[in-house]
Amino acid sequence: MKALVLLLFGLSTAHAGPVKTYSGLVGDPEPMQGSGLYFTRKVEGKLRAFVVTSDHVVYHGNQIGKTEYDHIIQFPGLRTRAWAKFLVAEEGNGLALLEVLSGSGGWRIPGEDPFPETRAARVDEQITPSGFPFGSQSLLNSNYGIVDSTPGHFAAFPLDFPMVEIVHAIGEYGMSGGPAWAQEGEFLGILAHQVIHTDGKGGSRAVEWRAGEKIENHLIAVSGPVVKAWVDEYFADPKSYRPYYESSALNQSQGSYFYTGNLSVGVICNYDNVTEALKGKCQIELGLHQAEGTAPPKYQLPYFAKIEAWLRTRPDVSDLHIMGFRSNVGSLQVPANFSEFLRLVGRTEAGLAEPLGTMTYKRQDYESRQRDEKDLETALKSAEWALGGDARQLREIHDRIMSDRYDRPIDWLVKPSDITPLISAAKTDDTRQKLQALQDALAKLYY
Amino acid sequence: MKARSLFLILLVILSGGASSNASAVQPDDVEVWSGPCESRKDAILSHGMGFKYQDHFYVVTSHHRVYNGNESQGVCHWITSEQMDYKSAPAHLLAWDWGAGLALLEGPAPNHWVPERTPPAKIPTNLSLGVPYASSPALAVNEVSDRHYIPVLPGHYVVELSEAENYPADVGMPIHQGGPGLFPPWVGILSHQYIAMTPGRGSQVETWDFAAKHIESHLLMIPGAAVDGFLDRYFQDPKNWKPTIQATLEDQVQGRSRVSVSGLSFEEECGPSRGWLEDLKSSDSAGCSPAGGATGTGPMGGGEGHGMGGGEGHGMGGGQEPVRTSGPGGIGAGCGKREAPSTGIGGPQGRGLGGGAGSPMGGSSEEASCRIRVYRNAFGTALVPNPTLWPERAIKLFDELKVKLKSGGTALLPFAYDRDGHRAILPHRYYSLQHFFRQLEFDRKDVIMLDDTAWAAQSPSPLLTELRTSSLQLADTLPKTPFMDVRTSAVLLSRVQTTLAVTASESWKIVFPSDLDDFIASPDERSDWVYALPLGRYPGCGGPCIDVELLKKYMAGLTHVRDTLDSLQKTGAK
Repeated sequence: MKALVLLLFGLSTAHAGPVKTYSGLVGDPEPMQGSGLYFTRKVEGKLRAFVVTSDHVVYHGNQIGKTEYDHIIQFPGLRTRAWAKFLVAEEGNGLALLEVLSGSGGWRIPGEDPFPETRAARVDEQITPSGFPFGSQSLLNSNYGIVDSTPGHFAAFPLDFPMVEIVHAIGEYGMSGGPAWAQEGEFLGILAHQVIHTDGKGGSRAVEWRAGEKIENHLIAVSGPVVKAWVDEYFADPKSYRPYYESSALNQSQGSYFYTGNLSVGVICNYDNVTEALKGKCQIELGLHQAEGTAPPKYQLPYFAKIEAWLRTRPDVSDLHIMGFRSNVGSLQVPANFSEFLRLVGRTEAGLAEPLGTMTYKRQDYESRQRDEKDLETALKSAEWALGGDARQLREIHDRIMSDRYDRPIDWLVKPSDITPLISAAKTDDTRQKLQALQDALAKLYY
Repeated sequence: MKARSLFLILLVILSGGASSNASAVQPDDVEVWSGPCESRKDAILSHGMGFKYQDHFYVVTSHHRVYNGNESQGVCHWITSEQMDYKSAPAHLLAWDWGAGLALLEGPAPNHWVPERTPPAKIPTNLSLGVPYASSPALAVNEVSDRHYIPVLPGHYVVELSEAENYPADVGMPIHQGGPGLFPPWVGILSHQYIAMTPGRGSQVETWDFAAKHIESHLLMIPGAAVDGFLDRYFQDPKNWKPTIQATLEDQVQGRSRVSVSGLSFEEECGPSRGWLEDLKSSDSAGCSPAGGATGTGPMGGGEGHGMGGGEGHGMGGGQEPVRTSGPGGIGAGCGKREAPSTGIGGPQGRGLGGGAGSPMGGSSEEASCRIRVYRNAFGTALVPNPTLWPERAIKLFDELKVKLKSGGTALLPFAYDRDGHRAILPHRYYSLQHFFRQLEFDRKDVIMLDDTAWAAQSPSPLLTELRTSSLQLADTLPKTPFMDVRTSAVLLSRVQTTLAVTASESWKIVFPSDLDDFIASPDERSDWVYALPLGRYPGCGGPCIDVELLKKYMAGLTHVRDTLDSLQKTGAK
């Protein structure tokens, strides 16, 4: 049965099944490539065609200013292709929805192909991830995957739900967004990302790939019912739907930034390899996003709503930096990447963790902040010089200041008040003045 | 049939009771050694499928671990097998086809039973395939894979296998259906490709590297139907048989990526462009292998890569490693440098199987950085492309090139193109020579840039010459790196470069003046300047600083190209 279903997908130009997606800037010789699940749906009485895919294989937009984006759907088998329009992406569950434009590229909706029969995956059942590897237009079906688990702990998305972990299957770059199927043809999920199992040190996490560091590959899929529910939620009221976590095409090309409500959330990571990444070396930057309209409260988690409300009361504050979380059993958790931060937020919402290490930046323009950071470094050197043989006491502060922006938890952060004991203990006026200047320099930047 | 079964049972008994599963050596599995006649120790090993046909004994194998020559050229081949007690017998190379990826040898009739030539079995979906020597069966995961660089493969597909053990010398090995049976039907032969899959970037056809921890590897099998078609073409008229694409022994040994078809030589030139004006000149000083010039008789060059079948590697398309002494060098050498993988635009969050701006699998570099040099080859005229094997576009291209190069000179094929959903010109660049030929199956337009010799022979009008010259000069003066290295800037710069390459080519007619309008910003329209920024910045500037005078110069250049194009298209002048 499954073989027949897959064969049909491979031979026809459009059935509810896997397609290849391209997304790039207009004229982009190297667009992003992914896979997706094609289906049709009647909207306002008219049959329309859609593709649900992973949010990270498409640009989240059609046009931004003068910059335009192309979304192309390639159907298997006959190399038919059509243009598509980006509709919505939810960073919260890693999904995106495109509409395939009938009449584009000579393609027309061939008939009704509703969203496939969907159910949750069962542990130990055989599963077939399908999709189009990067650089290939031929469909790859990996027929011997096994559902290893449906864990919550790999849920890299903040809208916490069990995902499907698949082992013994081929899942390649480019297959993101592709559907995974049960033996009898039911839709079980959308391939979302990989877990790279390292060599047993530091656990296993989905991390950005770095050269030379990879051992084993597990696939993680967003569960079929979650996909279907999200699609249904969107179609229930497309005009007023807003994602919980939104990222524009511009954000995508600039780094890990997204919006939730009117809050802009970014992640700043500093690591060179997987081992470092596993240690957790990211901090989260939260600030008010000026341009966007007010999001319906329905689509913002209370945690973010609280921060947004606080920032509104403090126009002098530029942004907050969150350096880590403390779990309910007391362990310190520093997010290793963007996804993990969102997961920790989810834990906070559930009362399983609390954020700590908040660092508050004063509102400054970019140049001023650069200048003040330079001044801080100068003041630090000057103070060290003044302390001479006693500079050891400043050494730790020096290290903390120089590293606080990147990779240290809260107890490494230096606040202006940390300098006060040193000022009190200063042996000469010159030293005292230098330390005072250091404290002032710190106060220019941070609360 | 009874006698054959009895013989096979005896074989099993004599070989110590080996089981009949995939780990047993099948009677059609033959080792092939190929190397210099005077130095047997330098011969390289591969495998092939042995069969009897019209009372002769043949071995068909993958071509890239067999030297394309015989004794008269100092090349010898030997075959042996388990059934021959590994005693070797000399073999003669009958056919070697770079295009089909196959070679055919004839050897002395063995004393043991070998199967007659039989048509291949069909490859049912999801069939488990037995690979001789492998302790576990292979799985066919894609019966119609387009991830290969065998240029002329009927149907254009190979079969991807996974879960199989494989060694470099297994190349050419026959593959049978899995399951029970002493001698299950054959379904194809193992090609040499090795696909390395690493998370976070596109899979690559790569050279085997034991040190690399690839999470997955796929083998590619030339399907039986393609092998059978190759044999049919040979046996129909052995005396007049010609390869679909020819490569010489000399080029193979030198690792030079040059082949001939239809009276033309095609050679890859990879690596960063030196600028169109330089690239269009004779490529004697090119960063890759020197080209032979207009006649194809220039100095032989040694590419840096080892390409298709080079040395011990499996790589098709070559890498940046030197040619290994233990191998024939292979065809498809590349000299592109491996760059650090591109960071995914869409996947900076450190997750995902897809997305990103990496490059597709294959080729001598992760960047599609190859240009194809074409010139007439008087010795290649007999290789008339068989229309049943070549796509229509290829035959048209060959014909057009022959006309344009009639009086000498060379042509450079930098990319093919089509237009995207917004009618923007979308270049499709090449990863290797094999990739170039494979791309001819797609419905795209070819861009042909002629060097000065070939250009002059066309007797172009002064206006057309002005369009070519001004396009080339402007393209070469544009910045090499985009403004602030952001994607929008990179793509815009690429679009301008692409458009200028086309206006300088024989395809200039397909560019509309409005294509250039997209890039021309007026200094008075401040908002447009942001869009034009990639074309102008202070040299060495790391921030948002632009050189207004330089930008004005670029805009003037683009306007001139547009106006020249407009005049040409209005007058219809040649």
